[in-house]
Amino acid sequence: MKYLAQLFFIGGFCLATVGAAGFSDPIEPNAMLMFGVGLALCLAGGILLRRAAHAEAHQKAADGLSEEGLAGAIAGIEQEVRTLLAEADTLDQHGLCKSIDAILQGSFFDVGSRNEDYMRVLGNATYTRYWDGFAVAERLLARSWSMAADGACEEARAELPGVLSNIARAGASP
Amino acid sequence: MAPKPAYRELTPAALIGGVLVGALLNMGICFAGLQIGFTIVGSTVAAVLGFGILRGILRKGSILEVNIFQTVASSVNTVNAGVIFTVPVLFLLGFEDDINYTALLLAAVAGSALGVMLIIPLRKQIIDFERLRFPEGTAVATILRSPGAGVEKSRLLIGGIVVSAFTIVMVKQKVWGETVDLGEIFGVPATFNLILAVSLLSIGAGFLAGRGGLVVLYGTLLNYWVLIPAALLLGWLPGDLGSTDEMLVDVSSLTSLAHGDAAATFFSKFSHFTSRHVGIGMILGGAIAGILLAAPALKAALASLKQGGSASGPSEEVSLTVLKIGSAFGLLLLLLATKMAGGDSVSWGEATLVMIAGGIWLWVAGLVVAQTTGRTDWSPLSGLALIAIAIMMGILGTDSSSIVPAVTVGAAICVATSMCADMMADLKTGYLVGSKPAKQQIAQIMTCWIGPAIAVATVVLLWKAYAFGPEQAGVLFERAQLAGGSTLEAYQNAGGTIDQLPEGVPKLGAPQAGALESAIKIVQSGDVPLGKYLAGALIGILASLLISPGIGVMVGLSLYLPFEYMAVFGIGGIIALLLSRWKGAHWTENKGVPVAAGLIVGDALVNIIYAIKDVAQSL
Repeated sequence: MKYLAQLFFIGGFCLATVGAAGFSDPIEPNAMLMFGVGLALCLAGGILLRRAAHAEAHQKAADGLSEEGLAGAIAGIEQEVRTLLAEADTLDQHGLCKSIDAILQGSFFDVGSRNEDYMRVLGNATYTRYWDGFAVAERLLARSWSMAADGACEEARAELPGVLSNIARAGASP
Repeated sequence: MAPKPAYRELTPAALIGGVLVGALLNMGICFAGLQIGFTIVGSTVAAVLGFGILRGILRKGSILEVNIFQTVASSVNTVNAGVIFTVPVLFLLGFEDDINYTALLLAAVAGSALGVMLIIPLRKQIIDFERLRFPEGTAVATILRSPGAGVEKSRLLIGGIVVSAFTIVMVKQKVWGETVDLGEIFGVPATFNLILAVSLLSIGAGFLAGRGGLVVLYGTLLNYWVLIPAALLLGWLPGDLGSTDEMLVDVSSLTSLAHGDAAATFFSKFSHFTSRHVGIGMILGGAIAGILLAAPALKAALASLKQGGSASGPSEEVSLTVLKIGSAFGLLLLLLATKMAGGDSVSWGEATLVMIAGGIWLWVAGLVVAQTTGRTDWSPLSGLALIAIAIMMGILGTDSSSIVPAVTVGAAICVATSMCADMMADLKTGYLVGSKPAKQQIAQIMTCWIGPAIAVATVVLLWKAYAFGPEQAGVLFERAQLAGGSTLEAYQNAGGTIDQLPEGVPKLGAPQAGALESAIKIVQSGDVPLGKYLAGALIGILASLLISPGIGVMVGLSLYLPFEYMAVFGIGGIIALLLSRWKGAHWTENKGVPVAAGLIVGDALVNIIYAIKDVAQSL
């Protein structure tokens, strides 16, 4: 059904766009018909695609792409940040940079790169509740990395509690 | 023991250095823009210079301080795009004596301030929640992070810069052509456009856009492989277009289209008549639907601003009070500028209406360019400016006395939209390196008035010194004739005639302003293709509501922009997706992003060097 829906949507989109291009003054012959039929096909294909996406969402929930999955991933990041915070005083500049980068390029990247999927599956309202704290935590961790890379290790360590409180806030969202 | 100095971020060195570099870039790019017809965004160059000045010369800059430097420099520079597209048209249309320069300056400053104030509340939604890529913003962040990112990433970045710079030098020196016609090479009929630009910048930007590149490619193929041939077959070509020599081809027959320049001209002109307006409508519809869908995120963003930040601290964002005061100040300036520009022909009531409509349109247009720049690095600035001027002419009337105030307000809106795109890209860079948004926003608010003043002054000075536009030689000859005596003699001795510029005078064709001049004449004649805009908007809204908010914006943009760049952009996106599947997302991020960033930086650096060279040679 998904492929049929895609065919409807893409075909309708093309037809409607061709029709729209004929909306000169006066309107070109057949332009209105093509636009109307195209828009109807587009609408039908879009509705079918949304249904297919809902069905797919159930499947994706099994792959961790669900509210529980996101909460679990955020809890994992929170644990990594706690560990970093506990070890930060013992790390030199290189070690601090490397440890921060491992979390940024690892867990944060893994969750962040699926943001569109999460948005689609969770819906905007739920997604926003989780993502507010997540995004602030990610930025503050990047800030900590920049400071450590510049040799300002004390300042870099001082940012880590902010990272933790924001990722904890994201995890506590529901 | 001396106390350890605080970590450097928002410092006087970053502000002053950023303003100076931004001012130099602004003047240079203004000149180049009037000469070649498009402007160059200077963020990457500003970042490289910031590194050189703060870390290399002053030896005390930090990553976040360079980010502030680059934010200020690009904000001072970038508004020239808005000014050189609109202001020169007043001179070309012969309104030199009717221009109120104070009003023009106030309008440009109002636009710059409003652009900053109105886009700040959208930061959270566009950067935090939607996580738009902003290819140039990402490239700048890669430069800023390079000292601490390890040797391998730095090598990849530099490799990308070298390859891209070499390619663009080859193109500039005309060793390689600007485009490659794959259709001719593979024997595909010329009706199916396969002309690709030799642009590694586009590949890099497409790579960073990733999946978005596929949507752009779809839109481009829809435009050039379906829409144009279909409209041609249906005979929808405007009657007066096919017969002009400019078309170079007999458009009455599909088979007569030959490869090469004729095909390129054909596609460019035909796309303008068929799809450009539908594309702009689609972008607008997509952006408006995106706002509706993002209501929860916007609510969160406004709540964050009301608190003066988020839970992470009180100073993460500039407060809503500052934004309200700044917006009110900007709107007041716009009102004054409209009244001053229009004089007795514009009543206070009309000026107020213009202010309200201008403010609303400015916000919509700002959102549109932030979205399009975030997804592709391109924005439909000229199309949005044209609509702005059409709206203003709709309120003030289409007679000659309304053109000066309409273009003055149009300049404000154009400046605002270019500011919105630039600011959002800088905030994206800030997100990636961890700058506090409030510090970037304060730096931009403090310096946003400087760029418009420099750009307006540069355009006026260039007009006074050299004139510009298609009739540049004629204008200068007329001036020399009026002055008479030795001035005319000197003009003629230097080889100047009514058709030919004297030696030493740079040719400033102002092609963008020429396009706007034609558009204003179309508005005056009442031939605005409103039906195409509305139909496009309806498709954009429907697609965005049903599938994804980005669909309408990206397909619309690919209907609007030329095939050769959009197709290459799409290829970049495909490469990213293939590599991601083949080598994994982490590999693509760690190895591919520095190379893609390098491709963008190399292209920008060489273009700036050529612009400086052109300015130096001309003066």
